[in-house]
Amino acid sequence: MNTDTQYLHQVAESDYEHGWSTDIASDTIPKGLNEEVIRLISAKKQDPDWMLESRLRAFRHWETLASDTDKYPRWAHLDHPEINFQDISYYSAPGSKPRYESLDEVDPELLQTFEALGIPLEEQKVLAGVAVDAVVDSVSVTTTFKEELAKLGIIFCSFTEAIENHGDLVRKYMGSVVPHTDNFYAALNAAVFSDGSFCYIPPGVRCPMELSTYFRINQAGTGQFERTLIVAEEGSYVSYLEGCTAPRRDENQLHAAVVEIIAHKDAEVKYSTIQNWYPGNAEGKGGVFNFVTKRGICEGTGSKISWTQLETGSAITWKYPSVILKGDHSIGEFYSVAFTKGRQQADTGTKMLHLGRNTSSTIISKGISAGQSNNSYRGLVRINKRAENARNFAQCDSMLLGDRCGAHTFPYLEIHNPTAQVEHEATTSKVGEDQMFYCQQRGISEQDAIKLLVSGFCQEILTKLPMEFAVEARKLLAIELEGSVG
Amino acid sequence: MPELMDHRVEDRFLAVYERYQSLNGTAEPLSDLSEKAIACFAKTGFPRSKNESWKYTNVTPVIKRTYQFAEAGPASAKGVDTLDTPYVAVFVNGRFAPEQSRLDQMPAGVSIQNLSAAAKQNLVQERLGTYADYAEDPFAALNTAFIKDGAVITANPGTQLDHPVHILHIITCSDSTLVQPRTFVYAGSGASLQILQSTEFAGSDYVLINAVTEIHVEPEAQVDHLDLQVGTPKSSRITNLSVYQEAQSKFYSGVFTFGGELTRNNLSILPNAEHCESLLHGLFMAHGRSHIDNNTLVDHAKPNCYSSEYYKGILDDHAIGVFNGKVLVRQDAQLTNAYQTNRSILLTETARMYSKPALEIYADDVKCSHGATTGQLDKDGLFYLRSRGIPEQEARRLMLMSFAGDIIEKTPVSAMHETLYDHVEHMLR
Repeated sequence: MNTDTQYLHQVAESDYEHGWSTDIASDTIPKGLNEEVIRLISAKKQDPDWMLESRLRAFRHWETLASDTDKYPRWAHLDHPEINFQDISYYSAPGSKPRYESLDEVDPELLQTFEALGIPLEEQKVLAGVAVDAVVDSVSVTTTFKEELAKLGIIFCSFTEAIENHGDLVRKYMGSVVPHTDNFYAALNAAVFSDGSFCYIPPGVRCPMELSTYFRINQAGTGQFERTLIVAEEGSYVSYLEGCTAPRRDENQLHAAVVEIIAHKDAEVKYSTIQNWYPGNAEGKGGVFNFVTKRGICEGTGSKISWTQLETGSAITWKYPSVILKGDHSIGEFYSVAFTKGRQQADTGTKMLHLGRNTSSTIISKGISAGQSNNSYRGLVRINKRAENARNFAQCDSMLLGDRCGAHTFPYLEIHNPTAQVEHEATTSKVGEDQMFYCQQRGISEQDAIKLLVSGFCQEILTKLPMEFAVEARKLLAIELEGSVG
Repeated sequence: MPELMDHRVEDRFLAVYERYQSLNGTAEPLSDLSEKAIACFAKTGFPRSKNESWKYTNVTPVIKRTYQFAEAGPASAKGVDTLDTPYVAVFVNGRFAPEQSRLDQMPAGVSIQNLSAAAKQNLVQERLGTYADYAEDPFAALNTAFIKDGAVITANPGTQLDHPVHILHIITCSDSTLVQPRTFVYAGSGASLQILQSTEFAGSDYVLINAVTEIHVEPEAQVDHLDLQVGTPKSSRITNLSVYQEAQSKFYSGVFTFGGELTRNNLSILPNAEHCESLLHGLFMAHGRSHIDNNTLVDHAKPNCYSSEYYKGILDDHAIGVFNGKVLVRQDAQLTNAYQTNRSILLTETARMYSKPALEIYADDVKCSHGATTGQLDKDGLFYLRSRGIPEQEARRLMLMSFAGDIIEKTPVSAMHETLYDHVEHMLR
């Protein structure tokens, strides 16, 4: 078994371990959102009082936003039906209920993709949400990792565990980067979030392995309202991986996650994401709506936060991983590949907020649109008055594969300090005819040539991904391209 | 002179419209248009900050003031300072001033008329108000609602005008005033003409200018339009320039804004046939508490067109600059080449620049790019000049002059080069 299939195997296994044997009825609550529901969720999670208070505060704020249709965010270049927030169940662990009785009921296109990714049959069932009876145990793997991390003083656990065992830390940092008043979906998340991940790296510690939610997905149960909190103390380093290359059938249509990162003096956090949720069928029906708020703060001098993402899934992607460069000499980075096809719509980008002196940020974004999709880059670079000698470089390239798709670039540059050096560049074009011709006359088929060229187009970003992710990402892109060109 | 009362801002304007209609009435052929426009204005109202295209510009303080609606004022006593051209149309407080205009030498085939006189022509009837989007833009609607005087320039097919036409607006009112100039240009097939629009302020109080210019460029015609605005700390200006281009036509727009309290230049270009060429150049310089917002849209609807946009800004003191440019390439507009650049220099710690160069592309076989930079003067350049014995002050001036010169030199209205350099020089003093 080669590395990547092994990797995927682990994903699937951990899902198995979560098991389908839990009492389904107790895991789902009726549709609707009101104070009672918040209290119910809080009770189910056995929240301490302060957590319940915090949820209720967020909920009350969300109510004021939801009651005024003007306050719903509509600025994004997205077109989706109004979301009825009362028609959603706010507490249901994903995968807790089998969606299909057998693989025959699953969208054959999805199965083809599984085939191409080389996923074994049993795993395919899990990923597609088919009822499975076998439970494979992978506790041993998880425990080994946990022991190793504990030796270094690293805390890596589910949010629920963190609230229980490390309440002080959670209380101190939760909402400090993304307060519940930040935006509509952040408020919603703060009110109803079910679980998520918590990660704490003590001072001076370099985390020896790539931390991934894969390893504890079973214990945490990534709900549709996930919350991640990463705290890196002075001089520490961590690389965190989120997501999965395998397309995931998910019964939750609305996802609103929040990720917060705090990097103290000289700390470095590298956050990588691969997102490949169900984008809906050919007509765009039934895909996942992904509204995510991700933000990190470079709190101390010389700290660094780097976001790398590969976005290929979801019907709607609304996501702007941001960095607040508060500490002097801090660094923010954003590397992104967004691929859309079918009727997918992505409005994604970043925010770099320069507050400290001598701060620098780099933005490199590659958008590829195919089919009838729309792919927008929306990025803000703000240089505050005090941010002497801030430096920013942004490059956004778009590639169009087909004549019915759209590629858009909406950069916002807000400069309040004359010593700033801010540069933004963007290009939009189709796959180069000359390059295609060159490949084809060397005997490379059209399809392979496009794969090659797109892979080259994204090369810059893919190399930023951790090793295992990079391999998968390349494979995933190649698969996504299949059938979307020609 | 009807005065604006203090109600909800929009209501004040609506009330004035009512009274204005009963007092003066609009020139008969335009009353329908005027009615439609005021209805649109009543519906849209003034832009609020929530409006994405008004994100960085707050017009409320400016529109909240009480303005007189301008009437023809006393013709200014001093000789008007115009471009050295035989074709000058003068408007005092938005009203046509034939005695100060020079239109007697117009060559055959080209005509400049006052709108109230030209309104009966079929051409004007059919096309006036069809390019400026009064249904969407409240300022265009307000202008259209009170439409009366204005410049109507038509060039018959194949006519070439040897000198630029200068449309000069003089504001003389002593009370705070709202002036709403209107211009309509029609260039027939293969015609070519150059137009300069500028404003002179002789009054002392607040002035709000709400101008609308519509330009129709027929196949193979060429129009160069230059807008020169030298503002005062009490003058604000909102302009809507809407251009429609036919096949193989060429259009150049030069927007030069120097100072003023608040300026918003809306420029929208629709090349609606193949092989059009559109150049959009702009230079804005601001000091004090000036706020200058350039909002542009190039709407590529047909294949094989070329557009290039180049805006530069220099911001001093507490000035705020905004560049909000959008290139839209529709699905049919294959083989479009569109470029967009915005460069700005901040001279002080309190000046600000907001740049939003956007591309919205729905066609795959296109070449589009944009770039934006903001910073201060290049230190190496300054060092080089100083090491050659040029004092710092002079070195800075030289560098800024050449930065601005980039846009000025590209102006096809060559008679304006010197004047423009003078204004830059004056702003840098």
